[in-house]
Amino acid sequence: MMPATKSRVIKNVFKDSMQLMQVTEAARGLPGVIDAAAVMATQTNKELLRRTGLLSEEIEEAKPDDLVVSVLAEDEEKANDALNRMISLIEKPMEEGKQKAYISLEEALNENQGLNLGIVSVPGEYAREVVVPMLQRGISVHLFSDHVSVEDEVYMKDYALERGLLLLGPSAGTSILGGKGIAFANSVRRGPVGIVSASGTGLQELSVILSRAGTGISQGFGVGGRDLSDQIMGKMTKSSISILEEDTETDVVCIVSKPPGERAMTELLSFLREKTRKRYVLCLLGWEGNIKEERIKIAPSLHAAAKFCIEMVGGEAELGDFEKLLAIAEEIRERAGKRRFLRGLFTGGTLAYEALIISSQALGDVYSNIPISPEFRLRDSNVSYMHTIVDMGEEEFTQGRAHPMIDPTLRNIRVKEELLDRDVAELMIDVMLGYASHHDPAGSVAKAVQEIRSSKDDLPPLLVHVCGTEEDKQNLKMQEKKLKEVGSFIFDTNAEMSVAASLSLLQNEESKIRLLKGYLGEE
Amino acid sequence: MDEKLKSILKGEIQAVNVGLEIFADELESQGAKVIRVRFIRRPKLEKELKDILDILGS
Repeated sequence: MMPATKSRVIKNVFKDSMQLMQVTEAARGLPGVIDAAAVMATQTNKELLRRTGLLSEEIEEAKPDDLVVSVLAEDEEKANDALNRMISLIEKPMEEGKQKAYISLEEALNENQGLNLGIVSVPGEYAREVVVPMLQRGISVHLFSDHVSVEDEVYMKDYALERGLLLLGPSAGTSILGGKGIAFANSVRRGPVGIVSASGTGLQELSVILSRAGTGISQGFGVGGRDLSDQIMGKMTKSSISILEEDTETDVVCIVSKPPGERAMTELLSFLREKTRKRYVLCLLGWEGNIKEERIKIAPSLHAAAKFCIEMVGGEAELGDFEKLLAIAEEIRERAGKRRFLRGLFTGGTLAYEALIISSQALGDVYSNIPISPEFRLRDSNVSYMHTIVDMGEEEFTQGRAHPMIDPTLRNIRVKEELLDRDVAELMIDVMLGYASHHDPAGSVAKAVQEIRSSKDDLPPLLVHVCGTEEDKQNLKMQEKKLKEVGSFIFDTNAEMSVAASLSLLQNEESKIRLLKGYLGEE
Repeated sequence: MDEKLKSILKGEIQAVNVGLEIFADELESQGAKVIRVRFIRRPKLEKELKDILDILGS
């Protein structure tokens, strides 16, 4: 019997990436199926199908609005059976047992009184027409959608503020409100630290570090990646701060963002000085300014931010054992041998950015698809060059497919490629747990590592930070165990992983100490 | 503070989810009430026409 590939193009049919991923996973479990995919025919997805041997001539000619189904099975009969099963799953109207879904938003809003929170994840160009009717009815909104215009963002935020409501987002990956995780969030302890974050994975990482250290969070507001830009001027950041100032359960507030716009930063500082009384930690990754204020502290990393917050609430921050990190870095160096380059493949955008800042500071030129300066932009995000860190949640990897925190397929393929590269000294990855993330992300990457072990004995060291808690549905300890079983080095925070990775490539002792102190919150 | 916002911050969430169903599933698993709305993309021409009418009407 010969393996056979069967495919079908379904013209002008759109299904969301989550639904298609579920169909793909169901097909992979069918008898005799070697691999399968149900995806929209975007360039990214065609490239993935090509790399996995699932691309046919028919699919090559499909348009991005077409849905394609392809399956590789042990023989023709099994391939046909699987293909038919996949098509019937796609055509199935609604998952059994699930609550009725409204087709009309207006009808849903009219028939259900008492709604207080909207969660919106529609294509960005449609966001405003979905969000505004919610705000009109006094419903605050967490807006997950990307590609919302600045004009629409300003309009919706002003509209919300006029009504005393929240518009969290756009591009808000995470919020934690009243102890409940919205979108991608972890199951964390409640406690005295309030978080206002322009970054989803930044909020996840900070809340996880705090929770694992025994401190918890009161509220976590995901305000959207652009909120502290000069165009938006921190509209929702300031509004969230005002809520936390009044909140009796919040003692310390941490603000997380990429570097703010100059005007937005000036305004934020005036606001903090004039309108607030509590203590603040500002973690503005990559911001090069400094502030000397008694109750405002600047943190160079999420690890340092957590440490400062814990100290401010009177706790003991047992984070970052320098001796242990130096010893691990030495072990990584030995395993890396003469290989030269650092690589990083991240699913969390802010974790990629934090790793990029730390490794650039230590090693100089680090290339990326989210570079610190334009000369270090990768020509092709699919091809690493010298030291490289890639954010695999960026648009070029997610068009027409689920985010890699949900569907790890693309990242796993790249993990194998990097580990097989003879010049790669070490590979860093993040593994994001929590609500909405893949049910077994560590198991999936461990399987990818196992698959290439037979073709190359001397794989470079794999460094992993698992961002999650024992209360997460995937369970932190279980996930870490799977990665340890394939020989990975496990780190408690993303900053520790990034520092250890850089330490292993550094020779100068002074540079090592500067790196450790610089990013791990040592005065 | 707005009463509905106060309820959210107490964790008494009653949500309406438009888009990815996984967000509704996960919030429900935490004990929140969630109403689901299936988002259907309108054809581009229809959306463009509505956008123009909105501008003319504002």
